[in-house]
Amino acid sequence: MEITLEGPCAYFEKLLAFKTMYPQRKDLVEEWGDKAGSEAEYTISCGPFKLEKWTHKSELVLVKNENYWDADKVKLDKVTYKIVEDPNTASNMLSNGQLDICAVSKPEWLEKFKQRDDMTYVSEFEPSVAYQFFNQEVELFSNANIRKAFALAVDKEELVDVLYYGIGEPAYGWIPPVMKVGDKTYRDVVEEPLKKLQEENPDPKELLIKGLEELGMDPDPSKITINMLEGGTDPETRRFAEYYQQAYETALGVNIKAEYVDWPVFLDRVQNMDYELAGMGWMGDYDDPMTFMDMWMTGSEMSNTGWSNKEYDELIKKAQESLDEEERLECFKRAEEILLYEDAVIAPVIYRKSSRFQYNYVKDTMKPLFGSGIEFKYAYTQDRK
Amino acid sequence: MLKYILKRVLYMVLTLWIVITITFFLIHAIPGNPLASLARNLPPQVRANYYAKYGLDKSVPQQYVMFLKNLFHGDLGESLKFPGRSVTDIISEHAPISARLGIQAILIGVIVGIVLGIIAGFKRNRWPDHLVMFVAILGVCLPSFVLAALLQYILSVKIELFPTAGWGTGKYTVLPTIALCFGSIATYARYMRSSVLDVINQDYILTAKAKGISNFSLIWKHVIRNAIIPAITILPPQIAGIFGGSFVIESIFAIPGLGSNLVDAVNNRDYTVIMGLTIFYCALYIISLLVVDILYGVVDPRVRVSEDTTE
Amino acid sequence: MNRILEVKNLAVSFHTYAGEVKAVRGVNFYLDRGEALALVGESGCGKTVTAKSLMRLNPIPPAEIKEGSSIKYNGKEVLDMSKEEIRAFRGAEVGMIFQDPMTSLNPTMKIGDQIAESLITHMNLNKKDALDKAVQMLERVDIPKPEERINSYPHEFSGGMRQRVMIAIALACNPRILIADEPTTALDVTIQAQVLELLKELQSEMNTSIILVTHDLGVVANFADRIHVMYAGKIVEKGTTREIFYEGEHPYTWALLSSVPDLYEENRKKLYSLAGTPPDLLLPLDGCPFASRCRYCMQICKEKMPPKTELSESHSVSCWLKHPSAPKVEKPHILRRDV
Repeated sequence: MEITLEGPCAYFEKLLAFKTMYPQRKDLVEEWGDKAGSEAEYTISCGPFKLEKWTHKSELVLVKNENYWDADKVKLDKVTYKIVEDPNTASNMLSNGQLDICAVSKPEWLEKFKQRDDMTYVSEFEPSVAYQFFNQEVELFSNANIRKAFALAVDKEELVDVLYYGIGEPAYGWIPPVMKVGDKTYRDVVEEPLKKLQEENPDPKELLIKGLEELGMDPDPSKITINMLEGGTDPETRRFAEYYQQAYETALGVNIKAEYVDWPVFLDRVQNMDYELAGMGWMGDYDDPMTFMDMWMTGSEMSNTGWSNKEYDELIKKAQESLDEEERLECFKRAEEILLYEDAVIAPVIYRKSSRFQYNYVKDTMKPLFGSGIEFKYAYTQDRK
Repeated sequence: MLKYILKRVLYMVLTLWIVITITFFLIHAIPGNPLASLARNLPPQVRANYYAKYGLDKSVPQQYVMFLKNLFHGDLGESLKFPGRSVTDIISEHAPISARLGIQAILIGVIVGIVLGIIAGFKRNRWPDHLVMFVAILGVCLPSFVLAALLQYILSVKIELFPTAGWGTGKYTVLPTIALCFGSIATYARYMRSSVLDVINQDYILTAKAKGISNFSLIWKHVIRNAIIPAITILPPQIAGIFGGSFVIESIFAIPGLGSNLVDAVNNRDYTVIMGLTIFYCALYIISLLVVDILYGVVDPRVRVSEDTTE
Repeated sequence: MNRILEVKNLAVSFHTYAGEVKAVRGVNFYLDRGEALALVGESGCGKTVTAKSLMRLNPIPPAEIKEGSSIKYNGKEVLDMSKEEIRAFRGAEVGMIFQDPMTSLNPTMKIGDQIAESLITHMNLNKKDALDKAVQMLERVDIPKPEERINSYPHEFSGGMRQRVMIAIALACNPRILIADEPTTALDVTIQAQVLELLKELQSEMNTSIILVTHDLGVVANFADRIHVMYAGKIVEKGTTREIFYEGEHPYTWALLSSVPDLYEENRKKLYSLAGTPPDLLLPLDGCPFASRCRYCMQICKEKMPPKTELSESHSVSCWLKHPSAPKVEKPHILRRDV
């Protein structure tokens, strides 16, 4: 197989690990059509395991793939994924050993499992950031100072504890700590832009009032009511929204009205710029800052803030085409500064982390940064009762 | 009888059509569309093609006509969210699971409820009555999902009697069935108790007693047979309740039933799946109503429909 | 022995939230073979309770049959019977028909089965023979096409027909005693007569004794051999039908007689109606229970229970008017008419 690129791409190899680049069997895809990947029988696997059984909404059974190139190293014969929607049920199953590994996010269960010495707690960074964003077509948010005020209004340390039960790190930048440019970890060499912004502006309310004056609006924040769009109607979404509401109202003295809509409606509304303030998360696709940065370029389908910045566009374009990792890093650094420090287009809140418990008898599991969950290629169990 | 059933079937089709129509327009009236997240990062032209493929580019009335046409040919369509999964597949894969759970729960709920109610009725104001009524009040007050969580914690986490969740052999069905049928047991026990008390005071029970027949005949032929008639009337709402309650239970016990599919479909605005499942549920409910009506005729000769007594 | 039933000192109370209701307060009577006895009185006088007590059909609790009561059937104490004995006694020895034929039949059971039920229980018949016998019984109570009708349900019958079915059920096992509790009250007047006639016919045919419980003296005139008038749980006057109708001595008997409409009376007046209500059976009764409604009431009536005065071998009355020192009162003219 041969791939010809239209132009240079420094991160091409990394891009190949993204699922849109996965190889497909042409004959089978053509034969199966839409059915491909919809049932175990319409799925082919070339990894260490193959999908043997898929009971929708219940479980996936993977068995060792004898045809895998490195099959000798694969120790497990079978891996079963249980599909359990209710987090309490999942935790119950973990606690009595019906599950060996399970993601846990509820605080009461976290406490419980942390006290058990037959389990290990694993928490790892994900290439993911939760952020708030502003519709710049709304007069209020057309002003950078006001956006900055909102970006600084939330106490991220407290938020991580209260909303995420400590799973995650406060985000003062847009590129999460695990992303690499070439071999260099980006966050190791680039300061988080919001830290500087926060140092310079200890009181976000002043920024807000300044912004209001620049717009020629009434500088009294209590006369402002902002509609915050939420993509969900469940209690968990409400818990989040109420926290933000409280945080903005306390720090800025504005009024926040939360509007809860279903996820598809949320996406529709955001796409049509029918919102004022909203929040969501972004999960990177491949191990290069580009996966976080190109979405804010002018004309990108993914950003719906109404923001456009020529310098930013040029920087990202340069980073796309350059093969010099140092130069690319400088481009990203400057671009992130524009995005967060100068224009405050978005307000990152938290670098998300995964968290799971696994019994001590489970050995050598891995969680690749860009993959589908836990990797069992080298995993095995030892002294299991 | 045949004429009667035929007439009923005709009405059923009509009802179904009305439900389909209302659901169809309602679901299309809710903002948000199924392809919003899937087609989000697609170039406009590709996106347009994508929408066209599912007929979503047409007006809602056009889509409605298209839908009815396909339905007439028995084609419920394909999931919009998970291409390749036809609605018929989803129903045939998940409905038997929900059905098994539902039938178990209804049977146990009704039978146990009736038996408890009869015991309570006959032992009125004595300890079996008090015990049954206590359980009944508990059953009415305790929502099924709370009971489910309790059962799961006690009978699976603390005492490892049953699997916590999942689907497989019969023992997987024990806890969800109990959680699902407890409310029915409670309702039926209460209903049956008052029905028994009512029947016991009827004149024909005195007639039967005056005949000097055995206690068994008295209770079986005269009391229960008559007390059960009103209990049949509350069967359809019970069935509906179990349909409705099952998706919470299915979620707690991670059971791959139809309920969670419907909830997901609604959340995803997966029109075809919503429509398919609505039709399925509705048909099921209407059929269960018919069955109950026929059952009613079997038990109560006064409502029996036959050539020689009607018209 | 001619005497089939002997009731002595029967007292029945009901325990309610309000207290003990003494519904029947020491009733004595007997029944001879082939005889028709009528218990007459207004609602709540204890006649139905008395009748049900004969078969022990009053639910215990709340009912209680008082110590000292005795019901002897053919010399055997009914009150001492075991559960099995009483079951064998009911239906086989004594049959009972109730007031409301609309509610006295099991609505979900075929007529034939309802008749056959007691035959299977008491006469050890198999189902087929029992149904054959049920057909005969229906024929005897003048139900047309009995072979078909055994497969009908009660709702397919009219009220009069249902009462016939009730009679068929009660008489299926050829009992020695038939207790008929207001058998015609719920029926149309024309049908009342038919049903009474049928009962009378069957009585002589099967030589059954009948206890007829009714509030309507008009009903019993041509039916009963003897009449016992009950008031507030007591028998206030007993006698042969003739004695009660022509020589009735108790003011309550007079009141009852005055309430019977007379078809032949030329001078049609407003039908007599007794004012007031019976005494509260929750309260103790010191004097004559009828005192408060009696137009001849004397001081003694309110203070002491009147003793029984024997007027003839068959006729007795409990009234202070019979006391030698009581004033003589004129009987109402109703007693002089032809019955």
